Amino acid sequence: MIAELGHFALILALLTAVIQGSLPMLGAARGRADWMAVAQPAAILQVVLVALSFAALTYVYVVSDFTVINVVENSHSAKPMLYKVTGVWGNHEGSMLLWILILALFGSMVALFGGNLPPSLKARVLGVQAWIGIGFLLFTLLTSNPFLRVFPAPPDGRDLNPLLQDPGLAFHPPLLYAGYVGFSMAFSFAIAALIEGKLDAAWARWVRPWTLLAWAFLTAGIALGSWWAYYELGWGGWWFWDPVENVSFMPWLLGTALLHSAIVVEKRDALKVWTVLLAILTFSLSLMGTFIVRSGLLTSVHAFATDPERGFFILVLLLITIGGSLLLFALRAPVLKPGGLFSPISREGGMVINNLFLAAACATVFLGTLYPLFLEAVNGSKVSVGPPFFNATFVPLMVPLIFLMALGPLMPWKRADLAGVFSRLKLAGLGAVIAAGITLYLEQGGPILAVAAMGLVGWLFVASLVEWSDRIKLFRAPLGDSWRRARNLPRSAHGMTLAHAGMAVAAAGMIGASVWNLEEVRNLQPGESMEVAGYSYRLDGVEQLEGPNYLADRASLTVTRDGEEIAVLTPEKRLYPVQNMPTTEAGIHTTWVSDLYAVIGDSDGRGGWTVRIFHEPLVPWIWLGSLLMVLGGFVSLSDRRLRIGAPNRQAKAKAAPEPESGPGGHPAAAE
Amino acid sequence: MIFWLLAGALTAGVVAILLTPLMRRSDPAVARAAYDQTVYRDQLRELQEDRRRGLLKDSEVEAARREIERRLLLSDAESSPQETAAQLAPGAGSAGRWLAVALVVLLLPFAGMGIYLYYGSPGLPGLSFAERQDGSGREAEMLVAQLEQRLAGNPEDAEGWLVLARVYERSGRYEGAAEAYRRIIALGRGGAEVQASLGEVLVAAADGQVTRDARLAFAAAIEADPANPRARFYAGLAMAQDDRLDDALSVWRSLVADAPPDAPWRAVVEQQIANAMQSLGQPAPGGDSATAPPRGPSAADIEAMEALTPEERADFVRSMVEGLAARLEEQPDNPDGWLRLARSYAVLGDGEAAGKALARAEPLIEALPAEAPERAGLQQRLEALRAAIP
Repeated sequence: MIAELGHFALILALLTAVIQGSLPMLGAARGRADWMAVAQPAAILQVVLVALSFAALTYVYVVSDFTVINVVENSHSAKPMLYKVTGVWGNHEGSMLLWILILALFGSMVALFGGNLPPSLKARVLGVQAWIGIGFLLFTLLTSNPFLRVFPAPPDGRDLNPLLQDPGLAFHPPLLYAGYVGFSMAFSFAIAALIEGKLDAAWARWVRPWTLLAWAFLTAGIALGSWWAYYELGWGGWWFWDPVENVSFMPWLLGTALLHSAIVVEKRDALKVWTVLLAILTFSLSLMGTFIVRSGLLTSVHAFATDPERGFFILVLLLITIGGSLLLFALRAPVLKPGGLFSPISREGGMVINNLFLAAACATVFLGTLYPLFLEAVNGSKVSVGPPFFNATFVPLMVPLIFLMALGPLMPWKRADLAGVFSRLKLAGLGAVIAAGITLYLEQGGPILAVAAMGLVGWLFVASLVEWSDRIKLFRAPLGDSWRRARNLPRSAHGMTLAHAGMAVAAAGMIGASVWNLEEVRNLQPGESMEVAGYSYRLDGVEQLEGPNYLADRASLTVTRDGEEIAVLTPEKRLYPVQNMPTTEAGIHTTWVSDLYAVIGDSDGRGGWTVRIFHEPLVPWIWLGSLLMVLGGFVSLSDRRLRIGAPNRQAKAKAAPEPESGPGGHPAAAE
Repeated sequence: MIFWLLAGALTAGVVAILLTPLMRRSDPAVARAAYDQTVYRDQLRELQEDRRRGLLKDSEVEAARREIERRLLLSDAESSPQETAAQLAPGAGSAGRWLAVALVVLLLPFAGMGIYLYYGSPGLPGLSFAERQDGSGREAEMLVAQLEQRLAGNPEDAEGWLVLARVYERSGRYEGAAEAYRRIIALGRGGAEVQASLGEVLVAAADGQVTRDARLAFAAAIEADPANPRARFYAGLAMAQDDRLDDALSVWRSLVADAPPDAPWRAVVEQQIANAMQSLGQPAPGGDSATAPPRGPSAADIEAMEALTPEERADFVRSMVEGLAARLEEQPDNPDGWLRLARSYAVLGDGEAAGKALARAEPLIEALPAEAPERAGLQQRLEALRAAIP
């Protein structure tokens, strides 16, 4: 009965979305306040109903109710409880439900905190959110319904893909989806503004924090996903330019561009049309990311056709959303009034360049990801576009971007003096030289491009700190004074510094990991050792153990350096009998400068084991840097200036007050 | 039932909440420009704050202030009286209001029910893994409920009735099982097995008494397939209950003689034979070699057989058949034995030997007195084997 209630609640959510997508929209068009007001309770009901539905699905997973087909296909009675719960969204149907839940959550935020939005804008934003919701709810109910039942029930389930039986599954998809769905806010605001033909001042103030939130979630989601691949797949790599990764990376690139252009809209009332376009494209890419991964489209065009109903629905949904919103953009964008002017060399100009590079990088990834697919669909030939393509196209775009990233924050709005900016960056130049020098010393040479790249990263890192320390007059004023200034500095400024510095740290990690990474494979008898990058790995033995739903061979490797014990690594090789699938669990020890990474392979039958050791310099920095970026996002979000109050009704019933009344005397200002 | 109550309550709650803004007199709307002005004024305030904190130079503050104030003025000029009036309309026209109310009140319950009935399984309760393990028989109950529901919608589904009858029978609901078997017979799908099963549940329902209805069912089963062992067993039981023990004995004996060596019901029949003979004051079977059935393989033989490879098994079967043939050569006056030998040869694919065995059986059956109870049965088996042997 619980499953049926969840099913029913989901259907009610669809119908509530239909009401929310129609009445408020029509109300906004015809100036009917009562119809517009329906949007608010409808958005809150959505989240309640979808949450009920999600709770019901979770319940049937927890009790292993095998009368629910979805549970049969993705769970097993012997699966550990954690994975019973995370298995709810570890499959196509359940993940769609999670998507809808997050969408409803975002929608309810507008309903709850949108008091400062003009009612017609709010009604339209919620209306657009409801349209997205209708699309997803229909898709879920008609083609991917998690509540379909079967009776008589099979004796047990088919278990979850063992690769997904990992704590990473608890966090990675929800964060990634929160990122994808978060961009729906910018999208809804963009569509609503296009329909209204007016970009309000409140528009940018709303769009920026939601973009920031979505961006922070997406950054965290992608970083976690890459970390998960790193320790679970046992290949020693952290990014494979795999289509599934690329489709999550594209919205990140455009979302980063959107984040910056939204600042220009807010501060300078400029770049409005471009920002609207970015909002539409970012969410379109998020939709592709959501759908393409699970449709099987990316592995092969043919896999896509195995479920024609679902594939067709996805295609139509993407066509309506992307095509429809771009058409609306083409028709309505000329109506939006252009805003403030600026000279090419200015903070705005810097943001434009940033946007151009990010958009170009995104286009590169798009091409590399979809071209093989397109080719296969057209003439059936299979081409593989892998790391060499991306190294040759994507990386060169990142170099000028990182170089200019150091300049942007130092330039004032409207017009900047380039010579002055560079003069403030002397220290950063020194940073670049030092970083390159350290690299040269540590690696005794090394590829010259890699050394230059490390220098570039040093440049960005120091420049980010220079900007920040300039603003708080670090070392140029007494420390107490600097501390006071730092506390007075808006949180968004701290956030920017953190994010930019984080980018530098992560980039250093990426360079280090791809250039100086070592891999060694040996067949070791217990007691034998191998030497990799100055560390000695001794195989102590391999024991068999039995997990709750798997069998494992666990090796024990003692790592020593100059005779001193550093760590004991315990890589495992597991076999999940229900799905008859082996997985590897890498043994990893991090020194924070590099990772010692061990994988155990097969036994040779004579007591020896294949041992694969990776030495991964700077890899931990990738995630450290990502963490800094996410932290920067949240610090920036906590900036109180992003919150504004609603206009006071009594005051507005009369004529608007004089503009000269000044900022101090505003009663509804938010704190 | 509880599900429908909850679903109804949920729908009613959603409808009620959606209706609140439509039923309420809305507040006077705020002019559009006021929202922009709030933001601009907020920005001005931030500017002052930034200057107070020393984040911006005075010249920058002045430039930014001028820009914001210009926007503020512009937005003030934009909020023309007509626009304000249009924005202020708080839901003019009650016709529109009722239209919206009707949409909400009609769409949610009706479309909701419609979609749900199409995709949902309202009658199917949940079944957790723990409930299946605790032996409460909940799954069987659900199975019965589901079958009943399916058959209510499609009463022509003979296979469904058969499954239902079996489930009823297993849970001791004999009347229901009998009813289900009768349905199958009424659908014209009842063979000997179904008739016999009907008779059997009728006997079970009558605490072991072979009632008139049960006898009719067994008669029908024998009519459809004279070799049906279950019907023959109960026919014998009916005779025994009528105090015709001799007749019962001869029926059972022929049944045992026909029984495949590994028939699970063999022991039951032999037990009945022993009981009947005891009642008649005869010695227990085994002493009388003429009437005692030729011995089949013992439990030890079967166990040994299971350990063999297919080739060894075939050899083993052949050795057993040869043993039977040798015994029959010694005591040839055994039509039943010859028939069994013929069938064994037929199973082993030796049509010629089977034909020879049949030829030995035929005169013996002819020689039996016409009123001998086993004669008809033997005759039929003879005909059946003759048809089966190429």
